[in-house]
Amino acid sequence: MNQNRNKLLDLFIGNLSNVVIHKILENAVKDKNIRSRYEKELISSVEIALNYRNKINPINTKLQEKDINHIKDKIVKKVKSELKSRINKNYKNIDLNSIETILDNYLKKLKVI
Amino acid sequence: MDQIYLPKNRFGLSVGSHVLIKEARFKDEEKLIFYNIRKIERIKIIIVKELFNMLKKYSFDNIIITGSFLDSGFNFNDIDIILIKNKEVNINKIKNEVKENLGIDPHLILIDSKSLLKGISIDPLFQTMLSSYISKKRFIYHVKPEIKYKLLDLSLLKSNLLTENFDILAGSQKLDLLRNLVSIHIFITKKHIITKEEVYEKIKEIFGNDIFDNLRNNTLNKKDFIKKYNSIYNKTLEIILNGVKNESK
Repeated sequence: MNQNRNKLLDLFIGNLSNVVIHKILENAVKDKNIRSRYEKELISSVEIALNYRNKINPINTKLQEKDINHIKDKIVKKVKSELKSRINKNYKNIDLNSIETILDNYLKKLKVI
Repeated sequence: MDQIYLPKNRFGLSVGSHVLIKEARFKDEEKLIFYNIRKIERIKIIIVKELFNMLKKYSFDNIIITGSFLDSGFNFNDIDIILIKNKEVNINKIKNEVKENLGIDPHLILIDSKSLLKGISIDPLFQTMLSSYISKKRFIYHVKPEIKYKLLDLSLLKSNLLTENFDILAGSQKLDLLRNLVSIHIFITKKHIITKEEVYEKIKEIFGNDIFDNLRNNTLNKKDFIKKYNSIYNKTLEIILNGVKNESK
């Protein structure tokens, strides 16, 4: 049971990390018309993350502080690492400072915090 | 006096019945433009006609139906509709209207013709989407491919989820992520406007002829599939990130 929960948490973390990376890379693209094309992809990534969230107890209230810290730490590390690999390749307009704000926003939407 | 002759024996019209004679007005039958569609169910044509009729009041420059709705069968989740207009329109209102009247979830892309042409030249997804379609008016495009590495990076990102979520994804979701990866891979290596057929051929070339059956039945050999998938994913990402690096020099 516990193993299942940890697996679900890992999958949730992986998917939500992708959502945050997507949002930040999307913000780095200047063309508004082209950006709107990618909204569908972002929505489906959030939906996958929501599916996992709905399988992690407690479902209707926020998670325990220990879980929240674990999720936040892992997502921030994963997103930073992915984005830094791009910054190292001279990728411009990537705003690392926005990671936590974007993440908190999604965690609220998904009833994690 | 004008006379109208009717055959004597008619079902539902006995001798001496009162009848109303009315001039028949033939409504202009809407002609649809089919591009690269070999076969489509009649019910889908009725839906498209109904849709075009419903959207007439918005005066779009053109309406293009693409995506899985046009594939054989009824396995589509939504209907991709490209609405071409140079002015802003309330998309949510249209979305609700389509959903309420047709009972199908629409994915609407409102775009002006210049941006659409730009989209085709830089985005492999637009290219595959428009390699077959039904439209209200003829839509011809001649565009040169243009590689925008940052956009391809963004497009590739969703395919990153396949490996991690392999066990829980349905076959159709796996196919969607695989198609995305292979489209980007072909576009970035061949540097030409790609087609859906080309993508399917490449998938068969890499993963074998039975790949689509295995995806449909969700009976893939996980180890073998993921090895090939990761190899092509990593190669594609490497080309993209090197491209970003060279672009900013």
